Amino acid sequence: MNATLADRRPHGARWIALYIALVAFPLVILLLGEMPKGGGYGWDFAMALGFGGLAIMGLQSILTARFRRATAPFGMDIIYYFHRWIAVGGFFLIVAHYVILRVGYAGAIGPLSPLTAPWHMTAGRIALLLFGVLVVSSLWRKVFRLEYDGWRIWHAIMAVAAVVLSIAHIQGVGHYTQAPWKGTLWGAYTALWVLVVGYVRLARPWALLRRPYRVSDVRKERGRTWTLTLRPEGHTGIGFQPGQFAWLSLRSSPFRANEHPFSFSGSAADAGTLRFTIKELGDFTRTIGTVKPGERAYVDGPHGTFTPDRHPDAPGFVFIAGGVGMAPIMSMLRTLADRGDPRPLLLVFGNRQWENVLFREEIDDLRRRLQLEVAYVLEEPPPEWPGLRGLLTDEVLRAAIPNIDPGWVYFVCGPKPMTDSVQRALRHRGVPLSRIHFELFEMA
Amino acid sequence: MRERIARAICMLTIGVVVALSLLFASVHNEPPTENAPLPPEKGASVAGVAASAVAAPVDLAKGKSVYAAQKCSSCHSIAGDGNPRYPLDSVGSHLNREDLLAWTTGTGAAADILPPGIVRRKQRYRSLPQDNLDALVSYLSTLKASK
Ligand SMILES: Cc1cc2nc3c(=O)[nH]c(=O)nc-3n(C[C@H](O)[C@H](O)[C@H](O)COP(=O)(O)OP(=O)(O)OC[C@H]3O[C@@H](n4cnc5c(N)ncnc54)[C@H](O)[C@@H]3O)c2cc1C
Ligand code: HEC
Repeated sequence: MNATLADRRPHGARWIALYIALVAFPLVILLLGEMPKGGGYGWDFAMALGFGGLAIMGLQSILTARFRRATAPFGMDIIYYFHRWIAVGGFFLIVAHYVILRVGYAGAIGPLSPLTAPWHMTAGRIALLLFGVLVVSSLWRKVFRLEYDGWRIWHAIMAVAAVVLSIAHIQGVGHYTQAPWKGTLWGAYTALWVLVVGYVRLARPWALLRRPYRVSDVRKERGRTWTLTLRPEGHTGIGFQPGQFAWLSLRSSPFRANEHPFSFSGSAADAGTLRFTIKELGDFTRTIGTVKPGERAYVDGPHGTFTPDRHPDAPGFVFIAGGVGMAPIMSMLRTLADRGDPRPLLLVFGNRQWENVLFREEIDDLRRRLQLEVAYVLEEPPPEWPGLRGLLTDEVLRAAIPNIDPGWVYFVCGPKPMTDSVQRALRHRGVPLSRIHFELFEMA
Repeated sequence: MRERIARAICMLTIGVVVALSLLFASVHNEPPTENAPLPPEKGASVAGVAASAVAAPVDLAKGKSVYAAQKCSSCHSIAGDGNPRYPLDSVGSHLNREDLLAWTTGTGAAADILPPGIVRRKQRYRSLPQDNLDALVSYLSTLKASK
């Protein structure tokens, strides 16, 4: 979930070009061949904006479909970030489409009341309304205190409804889709959308269902945190790179899309076995402690690019973790130890209290197996604590990382305020952004 | 940093859509060539209507109200009011009463030329009371190109 755009630009640029081409596609169809009689500058401009806005909204489901190859060059978090802001842009295009017609051509778009308006105009108006609700309920989900899982289901339902109504609106109006070959192209475009939605909602859950896992161990860790161990059932499991993550479904069918993202915390060298280290934070994570060995689980992964395996030439690594942000970094350390990696490593690990320092004992153990230095930073240190104290500020990081080695690669995982302040501190000291990698435990 | 690039790509995408839309609108509305009729100016044909009114005023008002009640303006415009794609500003000059009725109700030659979806919609007007249709056609025939 990180990799800067810069270090994979040639690859990423092609996906960006493909995306823009897909958005532009309906407009290019409009421009080709015989066109219906012009309806005036404002009228035709508004029509084209409507098509462009719908193309953006339709493609939203492709962005979040988690296609591994397409998301890898960017990182999943940035894809979600893009999903969020392009939705605002697409919504503005659709609003502009409506406002130009409402203001300039009120007679043509007819009455507002669904009782007297033609059905396809009502379909268009409902779609506009739904798009508005989608954008507002997503940007301000937390302000409206919408619970994540419920929000997510409604988000999917409303999005599909809004796109279907928009397509009905276009078919009903019918000005631009009349020519048979245009109808065919438009139909193919719609089919692409149906395929992606079908893949995400049916084909992928089906594939997951056929590769189940069983919980083999549930272990209490320090600080209201649990480690689950899963083993594949009837298949060989998945390989992953240390630091990657997967979407995990527990006590729920993959069709219900009730999954949550978690980093692998175990060693990637330990084939087959998957470990997740999960902190009790909300409705779902609070139930982890009640999971019993033998329960079923489904794992959609691996995803993400937050991994030292993408930097085989780095002379050394610095890991900076806060709290449960240690999970992916633990996977990296365990993997490097199992591989006998000789490179120098530095871990800076911020926590509130000494008692809650996750994996404390095992980190001591890893120190013997790796060229690893560790600096613990505590917010509420016990009396006579010899180490660093406070938050991971510029000053604390200067003490924890006295020398900035050129070429070393930095992995940062923790709460947003922490990663922001670490990024600022490292930038001040001249570490290029292309060598700092982040994992945020929140999808934009 | 990555956020900034993502935002830039957002802007770029929206920019491409707006640019293509502007292109579409301008390709579509090229300035008329020498012998093509000029599009009616807003309000211009209203004057023409007044000057060439031949039908009884009562009929005219009734025709207008039928036109409004049937929402012809969702596809047509008169004097710039309504859907600009199919202006009716000068139909009275080039169609006689019979043709006006055929085009209004999607029958005769109109049935072959118009797309099927539109024919279906227009044929519904056949069930209007005869005097409403008469009034509508009378109104349409007053719509003449202004000199
Ligand atoms: C890439 C990634 C890796 C992660 N790795 C770990 C890890 O190793 N260990 C760990 O403890 N936590 C990890 N998390 C965080 C974990 O996914 C959330 O804490 C968990 O989903 C919260 O669910 P909840 O129902 O308990 O909490 P809630 O109170 O329902 O949610 C708290 C917040 O978590 C987010 N969230 C909730 N459900 C989901 C979901 N299904 N998908 C995405 N976001 C959701 C929302 O922003 C929500 O507001 C990771 C998150 C991401 C994005
Ligand atoms: C669903 C859209 C639609 C509706 C509603 C509609 N029409 Fe039409 N009408 C058309 C189309 C399309 C044409 C063909 C225009 C062209 O090709 O220039 C047309 C043609 C006409 C013509 C011939 C125009 C010409 O210049 O030759 C007349 C007259 C006409 N319509 C009258 C009406 C009347 C009166 C109503 C309302 C009772 C009405 N129409 C409702 C779509 C519609």
